[in-house]
Amino acid sequence: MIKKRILIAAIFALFFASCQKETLNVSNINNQEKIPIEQSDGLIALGKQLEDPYALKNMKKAYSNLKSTKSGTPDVDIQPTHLYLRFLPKNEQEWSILKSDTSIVLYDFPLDYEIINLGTYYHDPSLPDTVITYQYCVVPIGYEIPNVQNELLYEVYIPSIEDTTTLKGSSINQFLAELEYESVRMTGNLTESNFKNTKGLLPSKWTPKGIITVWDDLIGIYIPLVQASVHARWFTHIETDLTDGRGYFQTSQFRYEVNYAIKWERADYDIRSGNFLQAWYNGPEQKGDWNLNIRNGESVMYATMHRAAYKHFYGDNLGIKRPILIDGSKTKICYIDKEGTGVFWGDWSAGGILPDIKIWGKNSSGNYKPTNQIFGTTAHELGHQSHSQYTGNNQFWQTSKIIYESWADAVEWALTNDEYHKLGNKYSVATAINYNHIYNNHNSWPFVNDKAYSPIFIDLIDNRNQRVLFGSDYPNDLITGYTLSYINSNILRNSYGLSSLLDAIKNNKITSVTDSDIDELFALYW
Amino acid sequence: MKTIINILAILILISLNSCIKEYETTTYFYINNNSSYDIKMVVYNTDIALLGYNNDTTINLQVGENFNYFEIIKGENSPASFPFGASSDSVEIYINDSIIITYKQKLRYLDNNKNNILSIDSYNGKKEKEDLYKYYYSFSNEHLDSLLDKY
Repeated sequence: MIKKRILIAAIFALFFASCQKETLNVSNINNQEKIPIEQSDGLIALGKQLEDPYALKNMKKAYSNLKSTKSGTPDVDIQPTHLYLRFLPKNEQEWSILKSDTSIVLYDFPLDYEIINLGTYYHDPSLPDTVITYQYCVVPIGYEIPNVQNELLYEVYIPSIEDTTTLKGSSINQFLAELEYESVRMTGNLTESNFKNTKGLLPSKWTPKGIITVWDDLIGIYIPLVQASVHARWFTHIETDLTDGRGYFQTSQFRYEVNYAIKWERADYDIRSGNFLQAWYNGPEQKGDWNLNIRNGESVMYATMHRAAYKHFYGDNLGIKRPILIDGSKTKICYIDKEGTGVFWGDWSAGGILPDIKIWGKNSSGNYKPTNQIFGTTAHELGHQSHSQYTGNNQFWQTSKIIYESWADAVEWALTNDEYHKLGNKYSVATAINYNHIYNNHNSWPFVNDKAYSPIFIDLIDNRNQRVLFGSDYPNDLITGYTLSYINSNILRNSYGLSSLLDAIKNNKITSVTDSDIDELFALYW
Repeated sequence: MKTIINILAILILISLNSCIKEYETTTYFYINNNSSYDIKMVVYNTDIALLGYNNDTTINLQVGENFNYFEIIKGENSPASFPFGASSDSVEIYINDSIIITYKQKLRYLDNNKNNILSIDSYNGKKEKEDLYKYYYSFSNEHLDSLLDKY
């Protein structure tokens, strides 16, 4: 196939040579067929270093080649458009400075290396495990570089019409395409797949796009992965997009193949593999659509945590305070691929010592937890963060356990139910339409040893009375009609313990609720 | 230098004690049919993740078979107190499609039968570790023969 392609290109080249005295150099095509590799959990493994066709030195050389072989090549002063940098943040604060700059795209692996194992995280093997790994990025010329130790790896030239002001008309596109082609050819990065769907001599431009879905255990189908950050990258040429409500993404155009990836990160949160490493889904290197169904391993956990975090930070969070950190840093949500539950570190983490939140993915038998439980635990821990950001750190740590755990349980219950009710209606799945989040002690309390996870806030909202359902030893819940948002705005700030909660509810009664109803609900709590 | 290290150590200790760690306790239930009868159980109003909430479920246990599930209760050292969940109402036991007994939720209906499958007291079990308990219930010929005699 490649020989046929070369022959056709050569014939075309001869044809053009006869009338224009110009040729297209088709030598140096890399005939090594790339073997597709599947993403797997674990460390990203790098192969050999490659020559970046977008490196300024290569572009200049390509230009020189064109100038010497092709008459009519315009006089252009090739200047760098971007810088390819490597940062070495000394600590979490410095890393946070970089991450909070939404105008740059950070990678924790170098961009000019072959990827031979599409893992989910990377840490430079030359650095100790305890050190934050190098952060690579491509910044435009003129960008104010943060005061974090860095080095310039090389200057970059990304051909675009805007940067070539000396040329006009259709010749611009042709020149830039030929320049890029020559640099790609010269650096040994031209492959047969680059000619996919090509009609002319040069590889055709194309648009990276696709649909990404994630499996949900409760619904039993793949659902769209919404508002995830998808990257299409070839060396130092990077384009990104957020998936829409259908899981669809579409980046700006490329002419050559791209490495697809999902970076589990948004402006206000960052999902990590373990305590310190950025979580990724590394997709294929190809010239064509990327349609992905995420179902297994750590990736479905990252995706589910992203779903819950997105709902808390940007989606329909039922009107409660969003858990955005006041200091402007990203919330570090760490996934631990072991048996365990969840941890909220509070504002101690803002000093950069620890992650903000940790979520464990496996139950006590070592199996992965169902997605509705992971969604719920993420919503619960972010419920703590929302609470602490709303009341302030000092007050939050003075609040009794029964208040902060019962509130986080109510947030978990309400947000998870809302998520599944909406999905259930969208996909006509009765299990989801009728879902009542099971991972709380609503039906067990007070027959539990640890009474801090109580249904006191859930009972203000729901219309189920445990005493009617289960008997006289359960709370008599005559109250219904409060909303999560109303409790957050009017009751939570003044609630340190059960007594102050009782007062706050009585001082903020909604229509049809009496003091007697409230006393009755609290009767078993004293 | 030593003072700085001490201060840092104290700060880290304070921070470690100040996080919120969630606790949950998983309780496994193992129901074994050690009798020589094929058994059918109809459980009303289950409340466990495996069988769903407010569900009526039929479980067939042929000779030698077992049925296992687990419940998660939030909190430290908090084993599940109610087999099939707190809302579980009653369980009908069938042999050869004939009902031989109905066990009812102990707390609500004061069903103190020593073989009540809805009562944790009828199970053998123990704490395996801080967040894990295991309980076992067994159908035996002695148990079922006595019910069939009454029936």
